[in-house]
Amino acid sequence: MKKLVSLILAACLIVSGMSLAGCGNKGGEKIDKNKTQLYVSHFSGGFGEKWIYQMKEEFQNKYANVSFEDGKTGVQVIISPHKNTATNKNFDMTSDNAYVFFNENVPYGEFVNNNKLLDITDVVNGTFDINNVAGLESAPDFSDADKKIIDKFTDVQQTGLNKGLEQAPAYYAIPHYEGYYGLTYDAELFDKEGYYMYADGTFGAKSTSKNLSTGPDGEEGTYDDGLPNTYADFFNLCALISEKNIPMIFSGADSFYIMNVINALITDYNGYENEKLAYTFNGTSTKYVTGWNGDTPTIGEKPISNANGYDVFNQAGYYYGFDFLNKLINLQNKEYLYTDCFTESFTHTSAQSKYILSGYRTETQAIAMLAEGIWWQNEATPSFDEMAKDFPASGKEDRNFKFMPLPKATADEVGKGLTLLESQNSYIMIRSNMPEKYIPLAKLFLQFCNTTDALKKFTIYDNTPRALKYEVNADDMKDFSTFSKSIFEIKNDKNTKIIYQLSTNNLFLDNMGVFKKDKALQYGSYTAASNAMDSDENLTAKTYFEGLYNSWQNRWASEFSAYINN
Amino acid sequence: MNNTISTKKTLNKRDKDKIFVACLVTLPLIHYLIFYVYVNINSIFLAFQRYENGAYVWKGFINFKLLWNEIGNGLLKYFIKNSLLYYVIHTGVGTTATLFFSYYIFKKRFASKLFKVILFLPSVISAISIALMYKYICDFAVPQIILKLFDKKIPALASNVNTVLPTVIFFGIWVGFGSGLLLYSGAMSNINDAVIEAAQIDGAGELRQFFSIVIPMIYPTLSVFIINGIAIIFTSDMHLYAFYGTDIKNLETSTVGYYLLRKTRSAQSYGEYNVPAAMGIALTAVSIPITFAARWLLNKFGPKVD
Repeated sequence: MKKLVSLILAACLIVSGMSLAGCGNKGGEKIDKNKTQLYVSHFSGGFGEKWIYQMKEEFQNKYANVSFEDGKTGVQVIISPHKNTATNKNFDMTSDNAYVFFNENVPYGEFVNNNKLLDITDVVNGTFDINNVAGLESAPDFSDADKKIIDKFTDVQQTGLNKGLEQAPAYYAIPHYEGYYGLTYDAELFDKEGYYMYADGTFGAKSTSKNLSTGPDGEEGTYDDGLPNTYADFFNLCALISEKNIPMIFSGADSFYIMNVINALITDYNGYENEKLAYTFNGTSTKYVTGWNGDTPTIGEKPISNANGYDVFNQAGYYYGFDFLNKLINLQNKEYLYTDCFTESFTHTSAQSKYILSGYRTETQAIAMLAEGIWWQNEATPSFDEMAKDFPASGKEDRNFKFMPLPKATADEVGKGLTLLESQNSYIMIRSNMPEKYIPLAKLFLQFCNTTDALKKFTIYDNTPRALKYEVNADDMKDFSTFSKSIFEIKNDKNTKIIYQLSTNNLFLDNMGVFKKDKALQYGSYTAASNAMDSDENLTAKTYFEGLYNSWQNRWASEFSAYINN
Repeated sequence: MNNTISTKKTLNKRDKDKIFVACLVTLPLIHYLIFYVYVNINSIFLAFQRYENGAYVWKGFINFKLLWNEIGNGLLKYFIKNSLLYYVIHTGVGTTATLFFSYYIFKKRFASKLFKVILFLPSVISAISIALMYKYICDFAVPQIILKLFDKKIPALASNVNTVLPTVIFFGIWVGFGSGLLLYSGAMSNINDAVIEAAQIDGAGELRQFFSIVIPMIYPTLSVFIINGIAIIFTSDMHLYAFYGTDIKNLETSTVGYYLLRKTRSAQSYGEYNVPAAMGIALTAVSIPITFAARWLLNKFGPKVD
């Protein structure tokens, strides 16, 4: 009996041990032993994965007749999709099988300091040439313009991603996609119900006989005409919408959706130079609150350094952002919001689904705006497909959703360009400890994925921009969805600036999680300002603003003492 | 000659047994050394270090000071209150109910097997799935039912700060039935039938048998549960993570354990692990004496079989 039990136990152990080995079907695709494998890890979140699979097919076709190792011809790109961002505890680059990584929420400085990333300076500055690799002298190459990826970096990316010296830069990652939070509006509903604003502040349908408002950019005849110029206009619009429909919807389960829209408003009010101080802690704020005139802050200047970094939270953008939030939640006792915006079980996909279905099926009230990131349409693809079955011409490509340029806090801010906050920190990287013989192949794939053609295809397939500079003309945009076009109209506006969350200051790099905006705006017992204002309708924006600033001021010296005097 | 041969065979068999045992134990031992010993030693180091300028440096007790700054003046009293409240209700109501249900099943009363399955079901289904279903029921179904039946509007129970605690505590009691049921009914089944029969002959009723025979006889099992519950008062998250992830609305409704879990799970840079590590050390320093004291008290004053 004892022997029988021992045998059974041994058999179980052997079987379980075999199951750990895997059988050569990495990433769910059968390995082609006649080709060289390139393993790619891809974060498949809201931005989708249509583009990466397209790149896979095109790359495999382009190099189908090239031998990257003896006895094999061609390349097989094995993609491992997953949902672990770079800071997720389940993501570990150094022990992963993949060579190339497409991920978001990447703590770039930390990864470089911990030697996780391969130096790809040659790929970035265009000096990597596959034809210089032994045996690959006749492999298809790229144009010099396509190879010089550094020319597609913005100035702040060139500085912020450089981990070498100014004279001898070193780069370890290439920016991938970029995302921003904001408000999506249903342009079809706006047309139908007359929610466009006229120059005189009244609302109605678009008309040739009446001038529309200039929109936040302060210019007539541009893409934002008819949209609210200021917060006051915005809430007049909400009051109008709420007479018949619902102005806004957002996820109740995850407060960071609405809070990141507030972050977007804060960033826009503070402006590029002031908001940058939250990452560099080096400069002078010109939006510093020096006092109050009732509930209106008086603005002055203040030098910012590591020693008084907490003072970035005393910039007026934070006050106006909280003021917007407070009005949104409490002005009309939440009449501007969908009923479940503070229900824990109401997820972001539920919010998307409700939004696109509103006004259809049994829903009697349409919902005008959705607080989300620009990738939401990709994420909501199953809901769009489901809806298109019941309602023809209601799919993703047929709906007229647009990304709204956010209104300005006050009338004197109208006409100042929009400052967007890039929120995704998405990069393409190569693992530092990957097998050396495949490094040229991995670098070649990086080059391939960053040609101008590849960048445009990303926007066509995934409906969102890449975080690089690339020309998009009217002819290119004919393949974009209405929503993508609206995003590019804003991005390409000559006055639009984008804040990338990059810094060379160790104070920020070592504590990126602490300064992440959805955490940084929270103090006390409530985990988000929106929750605080939802629970306490008497809480004012000024009280919350001052409380947040005091909490940062109180903790700064003890928590960041090592960086003060640096 | 024969003696030499038989001794050699015995040694070989013993050696083989040792090798077999060593093979079985090696993997779990390695797992233990890495995921328990190393992790906890690392955690102790982290508690006295800070991540500065790209490296961990020794900084003494600063993390404990930062922890106190974070929660000492406000949130800590809510954490302790909620943790103790959860333990008292879970033990007082939950354990009591589990004991009675276990006794009912032990006595093989009407539909006892059905109750066994129903009460044990939450333990075999994924905790996240159960929590998700329960949350949806509390947020959407229950308010709708109350509205239809009584024409009274109530808030989403798992979302409103005033109803979060009772909602989650009830969930904790409900899902806690399974494991307790299994162990208590198992312990009760070890009671000699002759003892029960003798009690019945002596005229002892059901309740009398329960309190005078069953409880004393399963007391070792019961005391393990109680002591275990005391040991995890300050580390239990009260299933809050299954409900809310790291996005609970108000920390005044959370426990010490949830706060620690939330800080660790939401950490995104190396510099964010030191304060939770210090918190772990502090909680251990508090829990150990309390647990030993509870164990001494239960052993000294608990019911005796004789």
